[in-house]
Amino acid sequence: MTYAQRRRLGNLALDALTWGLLLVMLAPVVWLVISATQGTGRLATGAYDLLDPTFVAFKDMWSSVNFGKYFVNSLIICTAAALLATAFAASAGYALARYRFKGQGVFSTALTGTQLIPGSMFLLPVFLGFIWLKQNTPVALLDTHVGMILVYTAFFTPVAVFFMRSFFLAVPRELEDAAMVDGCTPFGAFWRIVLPNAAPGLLATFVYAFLFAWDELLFVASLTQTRAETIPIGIRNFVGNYSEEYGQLMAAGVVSTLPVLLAFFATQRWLVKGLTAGAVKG
Amino acid sequence: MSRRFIRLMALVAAMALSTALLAACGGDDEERGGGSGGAAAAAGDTALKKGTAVRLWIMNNGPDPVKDTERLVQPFEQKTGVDVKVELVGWDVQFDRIRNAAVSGEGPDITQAGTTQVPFFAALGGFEDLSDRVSDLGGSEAYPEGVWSTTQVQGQEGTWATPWFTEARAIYYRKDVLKQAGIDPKTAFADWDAFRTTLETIKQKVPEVGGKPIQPFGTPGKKAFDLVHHVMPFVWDAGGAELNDDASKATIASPQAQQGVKYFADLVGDGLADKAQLERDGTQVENQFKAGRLAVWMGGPWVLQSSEREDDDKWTKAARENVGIAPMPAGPSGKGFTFVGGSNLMMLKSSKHKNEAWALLKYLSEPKVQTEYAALMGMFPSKADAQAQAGEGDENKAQFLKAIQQGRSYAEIPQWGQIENAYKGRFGEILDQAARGGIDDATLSTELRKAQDEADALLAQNAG
Amino acid sequence: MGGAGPPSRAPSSGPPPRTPPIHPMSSTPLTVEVADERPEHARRRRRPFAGGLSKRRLPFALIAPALLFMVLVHVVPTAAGVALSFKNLNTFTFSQLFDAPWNGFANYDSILFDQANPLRSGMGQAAVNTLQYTFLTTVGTLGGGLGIALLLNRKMRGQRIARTLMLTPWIVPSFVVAVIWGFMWQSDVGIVNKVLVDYLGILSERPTWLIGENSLWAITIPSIWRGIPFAMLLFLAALQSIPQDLSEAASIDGAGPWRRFRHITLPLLRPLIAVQLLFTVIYSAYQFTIPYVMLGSNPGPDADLMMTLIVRQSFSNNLFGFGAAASVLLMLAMFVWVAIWYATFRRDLQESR
Repeated sequence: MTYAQRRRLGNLALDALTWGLLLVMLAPVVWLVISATQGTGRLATGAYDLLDPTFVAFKDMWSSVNFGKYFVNSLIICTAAALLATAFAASAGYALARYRFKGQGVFSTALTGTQLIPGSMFLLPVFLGFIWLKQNTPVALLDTHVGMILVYTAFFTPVAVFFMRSFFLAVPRELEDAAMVDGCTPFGAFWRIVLPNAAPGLLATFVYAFLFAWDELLFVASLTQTRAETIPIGIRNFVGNYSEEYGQLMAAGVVSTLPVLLAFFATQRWLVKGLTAGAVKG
Repeated sequence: MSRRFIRLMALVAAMALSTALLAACGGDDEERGGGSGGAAAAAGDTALKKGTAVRLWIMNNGPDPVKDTERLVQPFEQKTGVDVKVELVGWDVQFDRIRNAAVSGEGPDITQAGTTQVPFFAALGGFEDLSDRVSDLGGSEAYPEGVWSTTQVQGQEGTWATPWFTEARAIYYRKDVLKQAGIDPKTAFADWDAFRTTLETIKQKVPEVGGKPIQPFGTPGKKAFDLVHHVMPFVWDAGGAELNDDASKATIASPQAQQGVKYFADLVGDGLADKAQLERDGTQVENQFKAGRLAVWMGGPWVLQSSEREDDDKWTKAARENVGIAPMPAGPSGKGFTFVGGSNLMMLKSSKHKNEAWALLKYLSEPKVQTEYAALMGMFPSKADAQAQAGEGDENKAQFLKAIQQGRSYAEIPQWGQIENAYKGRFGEILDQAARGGIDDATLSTELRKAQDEADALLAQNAG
Repeated sequence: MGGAGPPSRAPSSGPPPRTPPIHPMSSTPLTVEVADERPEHARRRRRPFAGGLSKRRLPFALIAPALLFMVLVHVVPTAAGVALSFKNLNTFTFSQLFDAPWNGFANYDSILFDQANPLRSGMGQAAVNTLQYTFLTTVGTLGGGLGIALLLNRKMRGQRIARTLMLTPWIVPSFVVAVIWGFMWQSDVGIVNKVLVDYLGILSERPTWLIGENSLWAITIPSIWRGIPFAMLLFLAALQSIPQDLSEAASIDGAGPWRRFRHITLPLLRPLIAVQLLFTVIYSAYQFTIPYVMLGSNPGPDADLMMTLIVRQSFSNNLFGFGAAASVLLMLAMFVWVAIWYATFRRDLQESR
């Protein structure tokens, strides 16, 4: 075998390995989709019949446990929280990227510090605080969308700030200088010149926060009652003490993955650019 | 993707925030608006206020929990004009939800609660003492003693709930499998020895049915909410108990309790119980029986009811047509205990429409309504007469009625839920170890000793 | 969080320009009306709502919302949580909320020193499990992510679609991951054992995954599976930013692929590895959803993690004070990790600036 032949063979093997790994990575997702079409009876025995799919679970899941409520709640809470987090992060990230101000180091360290706090550490006081507010004030946060939005916004803002900071660092300073030479105020330059140039970053940050909010279980399990519960709670209602509907559970798994999957693939061009720019340039 | 995009995003963000804030204030107004209901309740048995919304929390008790309950309360709504809002709370989170409702006041007017949870919720102080009202329902005499006691807290005055539906566990077996193995169902499950022999015979003689493998017996593991309900009857059979009589000390490490747990664990250790079932929760194992993969299994009445429902596609034909029910086997004490449970209804102190809420409770306690709901869910009504009626006419149902009447529940103390969690963890570990090739007496004893110490520490908690 | 940018103490691009705008008076409407030579877009809105803020105050206004939320949801509650860890907050005192009675160091004492305390039983095991889980998940995620990134960094037909599809597991929500893997792990009817035992014949007996010692793997493998794509994404971007000529020059010098990777690629990736290491460890050590959804509120001694234990003791068993104390200790452990991390990678972070 010549060197070129050996090389081509090696490349072919690596290609095959790559595709094989991709297959392994995708297999559980494929299995989820297949399982959702098999009905609870076949799921129990594992005797799947791929040629005889049933889609009745996709219909039943909406009425049996009122899954629509959880779905809508998730959409509202996650969208609002991701928007707010992105907005807050954009302004704070810009301050970190372009200004030196007193307490900057402390603020920056504190933002990272929030990531070191275990959820259980501040869940309990937030939970007791919500109850206390309910008892003693007219502020309704327990079991409301607002309560969850506030908490999630705070959750995802710190990471988002660092994301946005990196994006702003990538925007050439000359743009603002020129705008200010033209008479823009500093804020005007940020608002009208820098933000539009960081649009992919805003989008990336939004989708990132949305993905994480969509995934959150611990806090929503304790801070809501029946009105603001989201999908991670609702999906577990298919398994009760006296009945289980695994077919519907799988279908709900597919349905609750779809919005994030769509959001991701619709924006993936900017998102991948944004996420990697944010993290690599650091 | 430019300036317009950014502005749009900012606008949406602003809108989201402001609507959210408005919603917060609005929600509050709505709740405060309903204050007149409370006044009506104070005035005594006045007419029900039409249009009052009463929130009722139920758990996912059946495959279609919300619609079933909405249909059930429809006649009540039509008659009284009270609007019943049925809200589903998953079994998974119901403990947190009800506790939070009791403490915060953010919750329903009436909630379903598991019978063994009532004392804990009562201890939180957020629920109405219904002692003065229960005479409307016929008082304690209208219910079997064991059912009524689940509305009380041991050693305290007060009635904190009204019984709703009742269930108990019995042995499910496949008639065809027993026949094939040449076992007489009448004596197959008479006592511990017979039970074991039956499983051994099935294992030897009936490894498969219709070409599909079948396991003699299966029990869920630590993931099952009701693992303790499966194991504790054997402790009782052997003369043991979960706590001592005045519920001041745990007794799960007593020789009798140990004997009971060992008998059960050995079924797993000796390969009579399928160890793969230990990975599952109760309802998953239930579906294994329905799918024809288990010959014997312990379960509640709802499974029997589901065998009559054509739309339940989990049943294989053979399993559906061959369901047999037997009472739990008798142990060394000569008795064959079973766990009797179910759910009660509790009224929250924070309810602003107590009059209407009580009317709903009364309606749900009517024998006819109880029977209807119980039949829908495959449970038994909690009222004595209705219960007796529900057990008539069918041999399998009669077995469940017998089970309920001979059943037993746990001590009615606030810490029971925590103690049950502790026991569940240890029982699960014992069964897991048994699945790995058997468990010896010393290990079993150590695990039970740990469970007992944990329970004692929980009992020693106080408000200090 | 998966992989955020590293913390920074000061912006890297130097101080903002001190040059004032050409018209120092331009923010006063009066002069503007007399002579406004600014281009159209600047004239349109003379004073946006924050436009009047001086450059000194602007950064504070910009960080205000983020700061406010951080104080309200992170700082104050964490302080309150530390306070609660010194209280006797249980079934009987829960309704008193923050007014529950103090009990000094009793919670800490029972966790740390009271060997015989049955309420802390299982905590040592949970700590060990958490260490193992965190180590395995971090190594698996970063190793797997880097490996796949190297593969996808090669020229290959269908490269773009492979890169995109490879990200899918990261998008699947954790609670769905736990449901589907929990289903696949079942020892008798699960697809994993079917493949391993029936189809491939790698194993002769069916292992049980969801109970016993394998159950730690049952939660670790899905965690790695879900973590790999994001790590891969970051590594791939970093690999693409490595100048090709470096590698080519080395290749001409006769360096094989392994030596090129070891001496050129890896050192350049070090800062990124450092950042990923920091956040993957934190994220894994605080894992809750996957074990909770897959194995229940008590995953058993082989797979119980610190977070599942704390949440169970707090919310299922009402031992809230105990849970708060355990949370504080867990947080302190994480501080130790960050200190070790900082000591190890300080130089890399400075170089990357």
